[in-house]
Amino acid sequence: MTVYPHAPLALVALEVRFPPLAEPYDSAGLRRALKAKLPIPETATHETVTFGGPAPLIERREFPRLMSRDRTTALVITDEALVLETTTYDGYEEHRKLIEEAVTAAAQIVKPDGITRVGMRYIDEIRVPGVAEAPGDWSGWIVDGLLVPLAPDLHVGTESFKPTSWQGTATYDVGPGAAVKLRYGPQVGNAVPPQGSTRRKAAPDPGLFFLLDSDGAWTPEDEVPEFTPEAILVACDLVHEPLSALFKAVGTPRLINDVFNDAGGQP
Amino acid sequence: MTIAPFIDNDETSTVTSVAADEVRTRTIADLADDAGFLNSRVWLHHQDAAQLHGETTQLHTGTLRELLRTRSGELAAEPLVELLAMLADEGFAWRDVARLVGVSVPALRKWRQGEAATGENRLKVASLVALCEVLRDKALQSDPASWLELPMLEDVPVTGLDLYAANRIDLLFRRALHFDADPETILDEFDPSWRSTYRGAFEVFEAEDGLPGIRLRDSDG
Repeated sequence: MTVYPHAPLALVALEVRFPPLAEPYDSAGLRRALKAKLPIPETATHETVTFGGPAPLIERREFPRLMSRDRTTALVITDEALVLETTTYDGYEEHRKLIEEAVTAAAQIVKPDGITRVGMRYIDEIRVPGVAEAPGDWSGWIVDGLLVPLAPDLHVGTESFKPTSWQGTATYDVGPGAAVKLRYGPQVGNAVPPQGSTRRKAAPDPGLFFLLDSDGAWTPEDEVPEFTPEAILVACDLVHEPLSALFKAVGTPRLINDVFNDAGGQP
Repeated sequence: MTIAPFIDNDETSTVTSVAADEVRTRTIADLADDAGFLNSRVWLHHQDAAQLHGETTQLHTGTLRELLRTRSGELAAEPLVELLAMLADEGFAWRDVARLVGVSVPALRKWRQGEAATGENRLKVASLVALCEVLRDKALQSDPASWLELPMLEDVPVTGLDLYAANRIDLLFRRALHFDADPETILDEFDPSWRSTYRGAFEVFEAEDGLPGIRLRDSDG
């Protein structure tokens, strides 16, 4: 599995959804189980303020969050979903081990009643030296199939129209119950904040980049399967393969050689 | 990790709902945003008293505790004499107020006559006033003081005042909000030995002379 030195990958997120839990789980036990990889406990708090009654109503929801020491990897398990995200990625084989560890702990301690959705999402910020002014001329770097809005033969009368901003989405069926959704297009700034709740090491300066937001998901078509690490990993493998293929198909050889390998790559 | 919006949402509104595929793999930040949005949306839709009544049973006790804490702080700025007058208007007996605040009845009498109290005691008095407000406004208890005096069960003399005195505000709010809350379950959490304490082999009864007596509880006890 290729891991490029200058990978454009900003964030990888795994989400496993399950039926709402009937009761709170043993968060201390979860922390003990994952202490080796995610030893730093935090609490993610979200407040909702509602107006309309005699006094503002403040509702606070807290989610236990376990983080790696360098804060680049985090796990949150709520009463209806598990999310594991990281900004450091050493290839799918290594990341799969972390997934296995997290979902095994969840199966043993949280004990969800089933799996309703497994999703893996890769957020890439592709930056090319010299392509700095929005929306950017990505021809030669990104395959033409993703650059349709910039097609030179888009004319109205004698005028050639070029967009100032554009985006695209495509959905691909990749197996029973599985689909990949790709969102792509130029964007300015950062798709993933450098100093968010999950830290990015060596985040690039904000500027023009070509976003690849690849989201592969599997949902059970018939019965809701049991929440087991094996079932989740099978679903992850199922969606990862087309995600990886899609990433490799999006960039031209020039992009891979001159940018990723002058640097690096991805899944 | 919040993902910056990919799409500039400056678009022409439509009357017809335009289907949007919202199913996506969420990040940690998305989880919190989705929960908050859902809660906000639910609450903004519910305005009339009947719906509010139903929704108060869904309130998380932590929310009420936060309200209680906030309101207590605000009320603590009021003159102590006025706070005590509010409690009298609520119908509290002074012995109960003294017990809940943790002082003697004579001390309470001095406060009513204008003597100062420590900041801690002032806050305790304010908290009791705030509790009545929260019970009335959020738990629809029209007479909080009387409600607090009600025993959990007919033959078990544990009341809401006992829960409050033991700092079990959580159990108090559960009982107030969840009208189908099993009193025995709440008592189990408050005092696991309550059955043997109050439903032991003996029972107190009123004898022919009008004085209390003790006898073996019958088998139907």
